Amino acid sequence: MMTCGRARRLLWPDGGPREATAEIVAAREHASRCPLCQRFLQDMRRLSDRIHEAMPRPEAPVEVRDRLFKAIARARTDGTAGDTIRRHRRWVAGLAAALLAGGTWLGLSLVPERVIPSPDPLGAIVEDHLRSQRNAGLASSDSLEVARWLADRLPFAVEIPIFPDAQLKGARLLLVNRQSGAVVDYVIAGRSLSYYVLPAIEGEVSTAAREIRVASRAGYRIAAWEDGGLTHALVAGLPGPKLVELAHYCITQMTAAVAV
Amino acid sequence: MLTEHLDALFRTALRLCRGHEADAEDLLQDTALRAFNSYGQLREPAAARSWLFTILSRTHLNRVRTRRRQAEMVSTDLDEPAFEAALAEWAPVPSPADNVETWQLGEQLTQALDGLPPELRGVVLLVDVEGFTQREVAGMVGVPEGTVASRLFRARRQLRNALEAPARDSRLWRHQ
Repeated sequence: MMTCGRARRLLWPDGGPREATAEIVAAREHASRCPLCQRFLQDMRRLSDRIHEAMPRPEAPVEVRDRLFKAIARARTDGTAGDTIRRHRRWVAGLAAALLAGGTWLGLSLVPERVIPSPDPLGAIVEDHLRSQRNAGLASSDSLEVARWLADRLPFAVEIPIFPDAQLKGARLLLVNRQSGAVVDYVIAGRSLSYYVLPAIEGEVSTAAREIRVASRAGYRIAAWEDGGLTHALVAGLPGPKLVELAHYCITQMTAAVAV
Repeated sequence: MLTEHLDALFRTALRLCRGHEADAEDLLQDTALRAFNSYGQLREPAAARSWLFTILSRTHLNRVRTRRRQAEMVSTDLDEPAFEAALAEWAPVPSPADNVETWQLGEQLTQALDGLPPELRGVVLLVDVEGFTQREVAGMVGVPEGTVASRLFRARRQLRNALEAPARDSRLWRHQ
């Protein structure tokens, strides 16, 4: 005789289509006539749905991402045996492919995107971004003070862009390919955003002035363009279209500053 | 690949570690490095999500097992007759799920989940929150499908019981 317990055991959880054995047919027949079993199955579905809906879905904080990708970077550099390197390269290739696919999903097809094998100057920029909080610099939310601080230390002028909803945190100096550059740090929507200005990186960004290119490194997106013999880049763990939007703000303000 | 699933892995790690962010980060990092070192074993890129969650679940369970004796873990699972008896004893009551605002339920649910034993917590996170099937979860945690079903049932029963009292106390409960 089919009991409630046996019928529920056979019919729950619903694992999709299954062979209609005599016992399962009997269980279905039982459930169709048993209000308690119907209520049990309904309760299970409803509980599952509400757990799925109500469970908070926090994002991984930026600092956690930073430390995670640093740990992976360390693992990459520590493992030098042939097999390990091959595995790591496959991993990096897989990561790059996924990021490219993710980029398409995020609408990055609006702008040219490429993932360039590391090591490269853009990779160095991202690495510096990850180290940023430890480097000495100026902590200030005053854009004039930041601009003056950089002007005293660099052979070129740096305009400090103002981004909607972003808070200026300060600036620091950067050394890439033996040339000094500036890094201006912001926080936007709880995430760090860095604006880099440095002497043009030959062959790595667009040759056409102000053409924005988007690339990805270690989970971060970088939007880079050239203007006035300088390479400008924005780095953040933000979606590509958002970064491009911020780059356009930047270019518009630079253009206005030159016109003035 | 990791970036795409990082948030889901993080939130699952966070709940597996009962909200302790440092432990969750440690678990996540361990998971990422294991995935990094065994990337060659991933034959089907479409299975990446399931593969990463398998590593996360097993890494977590290994950690739990180092803290507990194996015998204690086995004794927590129901055999088939006991499972059927438990299923038969399910008493329909008005569900707090219907009567509590989602955000309140979320807070209570988080607390209730943290109170579950690790094996039950892991199964409910994988099935109900992340949407994996019973069969997938069985493969992930290395137990028979029936064990996943029994753990899922016990987890939901405990969650319902845990959510029932505060909902009623706060007059958010509506008798049907």
